[in-house]
Amino acid sequence: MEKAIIKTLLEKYWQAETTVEEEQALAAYFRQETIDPELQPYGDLFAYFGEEQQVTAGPGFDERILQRLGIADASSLAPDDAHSTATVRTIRPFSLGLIAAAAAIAALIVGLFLLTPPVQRNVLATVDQPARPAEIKDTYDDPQQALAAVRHALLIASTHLNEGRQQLTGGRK
Amino acid sequence: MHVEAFKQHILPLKDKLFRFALHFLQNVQEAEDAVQDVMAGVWARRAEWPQWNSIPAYCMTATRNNCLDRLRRRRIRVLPMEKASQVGSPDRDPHETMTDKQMIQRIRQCMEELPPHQQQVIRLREMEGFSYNEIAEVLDMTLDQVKVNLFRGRNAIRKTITKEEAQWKKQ
Repeated sequence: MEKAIIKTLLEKYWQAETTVEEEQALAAYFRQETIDPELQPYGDLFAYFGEEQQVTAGPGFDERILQRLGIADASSLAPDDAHSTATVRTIRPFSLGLIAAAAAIAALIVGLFLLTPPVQRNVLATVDQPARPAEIKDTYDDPQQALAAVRHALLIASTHLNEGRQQLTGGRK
Repeated sequence: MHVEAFKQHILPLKDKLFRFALHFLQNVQEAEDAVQDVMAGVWARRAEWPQWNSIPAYCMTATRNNCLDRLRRRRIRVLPMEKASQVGSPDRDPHETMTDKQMIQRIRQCMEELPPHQQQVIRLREMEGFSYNEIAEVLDMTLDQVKVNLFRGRNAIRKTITKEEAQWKKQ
């Protein structure tokens, strides 16, 4: 019975008389495990169509489209906000290099700040702030103690500089 | 509102558009680029959406036009499509699977040798489930032309299947 119906549908199919629904019924029949041997060759035709339907764009294609349109974060976008399409901005290795360079410069500034004599700092502070109390002079009576403080400051500056350099080198690879 | 409508009704067409673009361009990356171009164009014209008869047909037409422009720019002849991997049922006899694969291969070859309009009509109908009206809109044909192309394309494939089947029976 089923075979007779399928044969009739197939005849209509070859005449280009079938509806989309009838063609779907044919495809569903030929997807079954057991197909009448006489009809088997036509099963390969529907198998071919099925294979072709499996071809899809690569993963993440949805996101790439939405980013191209500038509506990747749709929840925060008002419907009429984006009449022009937006270009996606990506962080490139060069940008990472810049960040690393900025970190190195910051470390250098910190280092120089630490190396600056305490008196000098106080002078700068007086521009906007009242003079510091006389008891905080930040000077050392013992030369050995002063030398140890300078060594410590240099060590901190050197550490920061190395960190900055490593980031800079890593970022440009 | 537009964003949600786009996500619900237009974005899901991406694979259909991609397959059609791939059929023309034979290059995955370029096909994706074509679909992105189309999506960007459709989004830019969102004020016109309510006036379109069929959004899938509009998108497919835009895809076809985009691909034809790209091919014109390339100025090269379209090469046969790279063969997709074939999946056979693990439960079937190996010989049977082999002959099935051969048959599918013959069908694919036959499809590729069909005139472009017949190929496109068959693709839109069999793989994308488009109505005759939508196919007519996409390919700028009359309904009769759609039907004639579909009839001829299907019967060319049928002949291939019958011929192949007869050869196997002789062996």
